Amino acid sequence: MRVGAAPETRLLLFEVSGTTFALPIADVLEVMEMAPTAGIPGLPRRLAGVMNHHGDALPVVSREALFDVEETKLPPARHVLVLADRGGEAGHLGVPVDGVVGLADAALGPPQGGGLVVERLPLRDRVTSVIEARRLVARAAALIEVSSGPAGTR
Amino acid sequence: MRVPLSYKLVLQSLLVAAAVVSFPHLLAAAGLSAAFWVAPFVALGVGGGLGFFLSRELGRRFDAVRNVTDRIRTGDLREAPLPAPSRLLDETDDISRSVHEMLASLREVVEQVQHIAGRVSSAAADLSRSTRQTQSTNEEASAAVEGLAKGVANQQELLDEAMRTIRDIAQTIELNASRAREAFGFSAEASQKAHAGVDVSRLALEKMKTVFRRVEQAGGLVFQLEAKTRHVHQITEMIHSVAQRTNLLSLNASIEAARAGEAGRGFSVVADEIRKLAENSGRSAEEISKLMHEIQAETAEVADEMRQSSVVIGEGRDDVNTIAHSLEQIQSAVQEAAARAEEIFQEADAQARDAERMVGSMDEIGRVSVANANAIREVSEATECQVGAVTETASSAQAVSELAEEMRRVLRRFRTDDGSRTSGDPGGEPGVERAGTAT
Repeated sequence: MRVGAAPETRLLLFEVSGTTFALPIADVLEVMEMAPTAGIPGLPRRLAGVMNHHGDALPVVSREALFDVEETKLPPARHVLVLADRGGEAGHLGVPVDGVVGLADAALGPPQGGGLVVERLPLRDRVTSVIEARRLVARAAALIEVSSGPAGTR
Repeated sequence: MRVPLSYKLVLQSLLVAAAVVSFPHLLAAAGLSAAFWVAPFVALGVGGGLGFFLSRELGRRFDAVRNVTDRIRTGDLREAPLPAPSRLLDETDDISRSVHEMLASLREVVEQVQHIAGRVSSAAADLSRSTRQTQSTNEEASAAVEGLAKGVANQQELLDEAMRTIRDIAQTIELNASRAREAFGFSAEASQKAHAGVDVSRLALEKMKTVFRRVEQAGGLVFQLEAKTRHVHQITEMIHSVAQRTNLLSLNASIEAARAGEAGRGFSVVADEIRKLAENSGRSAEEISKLMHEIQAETAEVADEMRQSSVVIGEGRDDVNTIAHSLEQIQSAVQEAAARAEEIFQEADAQARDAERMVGSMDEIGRVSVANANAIREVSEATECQVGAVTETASSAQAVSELAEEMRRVLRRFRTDDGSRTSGDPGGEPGVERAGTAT
């Protein structure tokens, strides 16, 4: 840790479609193994579903929708990141990922841009896209809202 | 009374002398006288008268003798009348009687000669006929001997050819016997080698069976190893799963420690260590899993190979049993072949001995044939000599017959019986053929 610099943040590294992403570990409640999901009425199965999370229903939004990748390029999801919607009303959010790579410490700068990725860092010899849990949850909420609306309802 | 002719001449001379002497006295006694020159005339008259009388008597005697000799000269040997003997026998009577006796003797001789000539002619004819028969027989014999000689020559050529053929056959038989001997040696050696080979093959088969058993045992061990490998793989997967769960737990622990803030720092360190261990365990489990995958794959391949090998081994066992059976059959066949080869060798050896004896017999036959050919050649030469002798005999018989005919022709001049000349066949053999006409 450098003296006078920003404090290091512990990041949880995971992969989606070959891209390494990182989330501050403080934004992650739990890492779960992927389990079968159940459909949510009013939402398409490819977009979201629910899974058992210690007896509660955990909404899970698909990787394709969240990370905007093609479904055919994705391997089966092994882990589900349980994110906490701090201050929101959506509760927890399950984000399926290809797999958790590990933890890393990095000093994060102020968030940049308005997209999902707030910063790109070289971690573990690879370029890691740091994302904000808040933006991810907001994007999931927006997707669910769009999909559950009259136009997106199937 | 016999008075020799000389006495008669002397008496005549004496009478002439007496007449000369006594004439004057007789005249004187008679009283006559005569001149002196009358006395010679008287003596001449007396002498002439006596001479005439004596000459006439001698002439008559000699004429009779001449008649007889003329008859002899002309071949008339018939008996002639003997002239009356003189009152005073003298030499002329002896001559006449001697001539008549000579005539008789000559007639007898001529008759005997004629008889002998007839017999000689008959004998010559017989001899000529016998000679012709002998000549014909000899010619037949000569032809037969010549044919026999040719036959013997042909027989000798055939015998020589047969001897060459038999020698070739004997050489072939000897060669076959030698080859049969070699074949017997080879068969015996092959039998020994086959026996040794069968023993070695039995040992090899036993070893192969042992190998098969061990391979089957190894196959069983491989199958067990395959099962245990699967079990180890399951365990490894379980370890891997535990490592993943541990890793996940350590992550969650780190998350919880991070949420705990400063209080959870120590726990975070422990969680990190646990996570690292879990990651190491996971990597090791993955490596083990990979290795076990590889081992399992290879073990599966080995197991498959062993399964296929077990089939092949089963077939190989059958093949080995078949090979063992075949080797025993081969050994039996080789022994049988060796026994047959020995029999063939024995028979070939016996044939070679027989062939050798046969060649010896043929040589003896050849020598006998040569001796026969020489004997027949001598017989042929003797026959030719005999033919020559018979020809000479025939020629001699012809000459004798001609001589006999000539003698008979000569003797035909003489007449020895009344009214006919000699026929040359006094022996009364009218059926005898003239030799001269026969030959």
